[in-house]
Amino acid sequence: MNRLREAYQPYDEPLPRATRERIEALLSGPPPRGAAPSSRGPAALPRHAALPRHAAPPRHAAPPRDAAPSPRGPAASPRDAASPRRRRRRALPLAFAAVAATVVVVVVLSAGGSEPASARAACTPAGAAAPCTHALAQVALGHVLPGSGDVLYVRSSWVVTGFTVDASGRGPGNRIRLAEARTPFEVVRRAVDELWVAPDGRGRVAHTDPGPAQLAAPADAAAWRAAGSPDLEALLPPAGEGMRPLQQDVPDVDSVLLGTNGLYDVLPHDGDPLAPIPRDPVALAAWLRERAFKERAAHDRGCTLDGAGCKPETLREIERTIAGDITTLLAYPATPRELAAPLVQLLGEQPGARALGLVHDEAGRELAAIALGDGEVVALDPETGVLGAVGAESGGVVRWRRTYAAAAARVPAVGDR
Amino acid sequence: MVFREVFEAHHAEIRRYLVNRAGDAAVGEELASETFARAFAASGRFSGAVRPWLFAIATNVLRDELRARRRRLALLERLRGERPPVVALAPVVPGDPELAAALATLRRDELDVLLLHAWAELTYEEIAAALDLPIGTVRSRLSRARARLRSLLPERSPVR
Repeated sequence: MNRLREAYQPYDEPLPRATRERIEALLSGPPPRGAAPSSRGPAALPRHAALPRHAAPPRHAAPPRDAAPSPRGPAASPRDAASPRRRRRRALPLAFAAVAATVVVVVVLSAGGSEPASARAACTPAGAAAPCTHALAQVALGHVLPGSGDVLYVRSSWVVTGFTVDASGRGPGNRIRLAEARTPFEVVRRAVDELWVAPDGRGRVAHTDPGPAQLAAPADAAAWRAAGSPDLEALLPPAGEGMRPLQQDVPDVDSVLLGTNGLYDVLPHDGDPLAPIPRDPVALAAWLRERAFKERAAHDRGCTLDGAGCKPETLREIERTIAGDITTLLAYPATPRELAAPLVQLLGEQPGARALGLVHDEAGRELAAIALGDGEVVALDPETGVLGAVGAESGGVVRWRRTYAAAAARVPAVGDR
Repeated sequence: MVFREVFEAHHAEIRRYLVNRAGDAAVGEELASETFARAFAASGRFSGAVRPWLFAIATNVLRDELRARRRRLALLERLRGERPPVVALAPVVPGDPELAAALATLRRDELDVLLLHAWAELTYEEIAAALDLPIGTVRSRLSRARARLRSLLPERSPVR
């Protein structure tokens, strides 16, 4: 056997029930006519054209954060929407939960009762993250999106391009050399995103032309002045072709919003994508950890779910993936409050998480900031528990990369504001 | 053609091929289902050798999945302004990272021909028929792919 043939792995797993059911459904009916391929059959049939998907539950409209069952409708229960793989995933041995329980401080999140007014007090002091995120979780549980209608609308602002200006022009990331810039400062262009998500999963994305060059943070002003207050517009190259204004209708907006780090790939595409994700904090932590482990630890032999035998870089990747999933799900506009609340709670329980106190984003909103172990900063509105901004901390300065939910509401139709 | 017999006879090898090509069991399973769904849709008007036809459909299903992922990635990049690491569809070569890296340097059409020959064990003629290519094109793609692998993996012969 040669090297390439030796690499061909056997695969003898039992046929998944969903596949068997799908094939049985195919075989029980007559072959469709008029869909034949060319002479040899490799065919230009529309993707999924003949595939009898699981009966897709209607994506009924439902309020995103103010309705208990699901943002995508009552029919999309985990049992209905999840594939067998997902069901197996949820049927994790209790050991997983036990492992998770050793690192997760469980707080019972309760809806109803006295409505928490604000997490401001709990998040004002810098220090331990958990008290702040637990208070934010309670607030998130009571949050109701403004507006009425079945379409979710979110407007946010993000950094299209960013440069560090310094005297050497050398170093990681985008750099601009300016001899006078003895103390580095950062310059960015921002654009505005708009996003609509309809109940059936279709949506529209749009973003504006990048705005003018501006300092990334107020803390950059001193270094900029010391460098002679150079014209920022002249310093920064124009935004690239790919950053022209865009407006695009998307058949499956979830693939965009949940695509980060492969999260979309492990969620069902024919119902409520969030249905398999547990709402209980302990189970949720176990689910996130197992997904990250499968995503990142496949090539680290000897690495087990509890972290034993894992290389340090694998563990960092797992931690980053968990934090990324939490942020992605918090940014997803259809995440129900019953899921948003434990996600917020878990954010503060990530390794190295610490509260930075109340900070201002570039729009001037006061947010409760949580720094994660790798320098990422996630900030939430202390009044609503909603994700407000993400950025990075360096040298005690937070620079925002994206400001979420500058406006977030329910609207009657795609395109409405 | 009794499609149930086709399924029973060929599903396992199509699934094995796609799981190895995709580098992910779950993805490979779904692509295999899609392959047989397409084959079923086309079966009423098909006549000829079934096995290469199924591998041809599997190759197209795999290509479509790659295209869909690229489109999604491009949109994601535009919308979010970042390029997240996504799970790429690449042949799984456990324990031989050199070979995996070398395979990753091949053009997609060369990789398809190479693996249809080495893994699916299709003949040149079957590959030519399946992919609707002249047999000379199959030979040249295979030759280029082998040469490329030999140049990157000089110490051992990568392909028969």
